[in-house]
This record gives sequence, structure tokens and C-alpha cells, in this order.
Amino acid sequence: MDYKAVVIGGSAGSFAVVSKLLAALPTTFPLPVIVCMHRQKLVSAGFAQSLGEKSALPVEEPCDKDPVRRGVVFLAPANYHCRIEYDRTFALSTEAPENFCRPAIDYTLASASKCWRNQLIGIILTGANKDGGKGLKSIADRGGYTIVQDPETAAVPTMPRAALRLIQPNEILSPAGITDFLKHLQ
Amino acid sequence: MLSERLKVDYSNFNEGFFRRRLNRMMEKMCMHRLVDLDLALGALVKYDEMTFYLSQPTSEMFRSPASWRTLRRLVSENPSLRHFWLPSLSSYHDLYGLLILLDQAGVSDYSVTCNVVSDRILRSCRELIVERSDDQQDRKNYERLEAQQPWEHYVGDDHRLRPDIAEAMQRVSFRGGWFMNMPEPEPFDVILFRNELLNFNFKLHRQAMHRLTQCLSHRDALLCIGTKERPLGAESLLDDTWAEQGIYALRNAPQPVPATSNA
Repeated sequence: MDYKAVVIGGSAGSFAVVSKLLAALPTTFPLPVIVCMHRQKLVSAGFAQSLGEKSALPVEEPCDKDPVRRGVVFLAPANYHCRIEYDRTFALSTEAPENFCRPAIDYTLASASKCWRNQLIGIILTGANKDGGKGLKSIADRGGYTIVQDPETAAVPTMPRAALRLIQPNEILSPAGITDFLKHLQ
Repeated sequence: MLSERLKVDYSNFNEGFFRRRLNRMMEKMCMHRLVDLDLALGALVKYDEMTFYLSQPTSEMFRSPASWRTLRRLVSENPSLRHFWLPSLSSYHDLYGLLILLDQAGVSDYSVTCNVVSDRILRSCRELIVERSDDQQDRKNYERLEAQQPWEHYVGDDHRLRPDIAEAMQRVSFRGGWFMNMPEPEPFDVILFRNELLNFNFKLHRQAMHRLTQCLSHRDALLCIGTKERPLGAESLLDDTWAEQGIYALRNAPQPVPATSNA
């Protein structure tokens, strides 16, 4: 399958996983990586900067209507929902929180699934609430490739378990397994 | 038809956003089918309620506190920044926030003009009450302003604004109508249009930027947009020194648009 994008959702405990994962991706990684992580509303620039220091790929917080670009890691901005439009641009919004979260992972994943359909890879990592499960199901329903972090390896297993209650993903992997999978996409 | 009747160009809002607002509006107004909406529009009723539910409220005061801090500093340093405009007031949050900020900046010779598309929004602004449900977030944001006065200096235990700020409302004028329908641009020193461009498509975003820059009264006049919004189409007119805070100063006056153009 010729994949066009990777979208990752995570919450409590996911910063360390995402950091390691991004650190392992080479500068030649061919796809855009869109990361939606729950975080404090007022934590902004430092978060992307911290991830960027460990990543060979550039890490950016997109602005509204910015285009999705290959080889860039896009981090959903704090306190905005982050959707992908059909024209492959970001659409941010200040609409009400979903699952008590803004950004809501469900929104990012579901919108990306409509955009890339079966050419999308969706990943759910460790986290403390059920957000992301419906979004991952949306990706699975459109034929995309779905990966859930093995709850046994998760700092907080609520989020991967919630996703596993909704779908049987293509893979259930440890963080190291997810990293290997993405490295082999080259 | 909705755009025509409500006199707001919803046809050029972001499609997904508008669809969600429309669904919410229909749910709130107990319209179960599109024909119910059609009937309400045809009967010329409930227009105010419709525009109220179609607006996206700000939902917290001092959202992006660093931007407010920067604005406070710029306003206190520059006496030519005294006439404020909120072109699309969707809730009380940014208005009350601005009045508190101006008090902190030690500014009293100012005026604020607000465009509101719904009387219901106007009524909530005039109540001078901060919603209890927003209180915790408002306080957290306020603390990030690093002000000398505590939150309680401005908001009482009963969630009412203190008399000084209530009195400042006398400097605020409200007017109905969507800002893009104003026949002629009016000059203002500071325009607060934060997180509204998000709701528009590319075309309306650019049109709005053109209109807003036309309304900046002088070189150094400020346009405040959301920290994650870009001034598309007006980049060459604006100084981006404070772009990270969503604040742009006018550097070059925009060219007038020919009457027949959509640009």
C-alpha cells in the first residue's frame, strides 16, 4: 500500500513514547506525521520545541489553513481542535472540548481518515481516557492501517484498551515495535 | 438562503465548521428536519436565535494570556491606541477582558465599538456577569497576565464585574450587523478579531483580512488575531514583530478594492 500520512494520538505517558519514536525516524522519512496529544492548555511552544530537539524531522505546530507537508511532524496546537481538510490543509477550531479534551484525538483521526481513506496509518498510544478510539475506528472503517500500543507496555492503558474495545487493529505493538514499523515504511 | 436572510456570508464559512454549527443550531431550536429550518426562514422568525447559535463563542477570558500581556504593554506605551473595535463579538469574554486590560494599562480615554449579530449576545454582554462554568479557566488565564491586582479586584464572589469595570461599559457602543456588510471602512486603532478567521474558508479569510486592514486608522494601529491564524493576503501590509502573539501593526496602507472585485 502506498501510504500518504501517519497520524498518532496519545495522552498521559505518550510524550516519552512519541519522543523516542520521532528520534528514530530518519530525515528521509517520506510521509507527513500528524501528532495529536493531550496537554495543558497553556503549554505551547516548549512542547513542540522539546519534541523537535529529539527529532531529525522538523516539528511544527500548524496554523489554521497551513498545508500538510511530507517529511514534517505536525503537532496539534494546545487548546485548538485540529482537523485535516480534503485539500490537505489544517483546519483549527475553538469549538467545545470533546471527551473533555481540546485537541480531541477523535477529531484529528476521523478527519484524516476522510482525507486519506485507506492510505492512512493511524496509531493510538498510552493515555488516560477513551479519546481516540472512535477516530481509529473511522480509519479502520475506511481501510486504513491501524496500530494500537500494547496496553501491557502503556504507562496508562485506558486509551489503548478503549480503542481495542472498538476495533481489532492491524497491529498491537510495543513502542519499539511501532518504531520499527514506521522505519520500514521508507 | 440562510446567508441572505441572516445577512452573514455563511456560504463562505469553513464547510465542516458551518455544518457542525448548523446541526447544533437545529438541535437547540428543536428543528428535526431541514424543512423545519426552511419554514422558520420563510416565516421570518427566530433569526436572532439562529445567529446566536451559529456564532462560535470565545468560551474563556484572556485565552492566550501572552498575547494579552503584549497588547497591554503596547497600549500602555502608545497613546495613539485608544479606539478599539471588536468586529464580531460572539460572547462577553473578549470584551470584559479588554476592559480589565485597559484598566491595568492605566488607560481611561478610550472607546470600544462592538459589532454583534445577535441581540442575545448583546444581552449577555450587558449582564456584566462572568459565567460560573468558565471561572476556573478564566482565573488561570488571568494569573498568567502577571497583573498587580488579583482576580477578585475585577470579579466579585457573586461573579459580577466590580463597579469600576461596570462603569467602563459606558465607553462601549454596540451595533448590529455583520462587520463585512459595513458600507465603508471606519478607522480604528486596535482591532480584536481573535480566532474568528478559523471559521472562514480561504476566500472569506482573505476578504476579511482586506476589510480589517482597511479599518486600521494609522501606521502602528494594531490587528489582533488568533495565535494560530495567519494574516493571509495582507502579509505585506503588516509588521510581524509580534506575530507569535497574533498581533500585527499596520506598516503600509492597503490599496482600495475596485467595486466589482471579489478580492
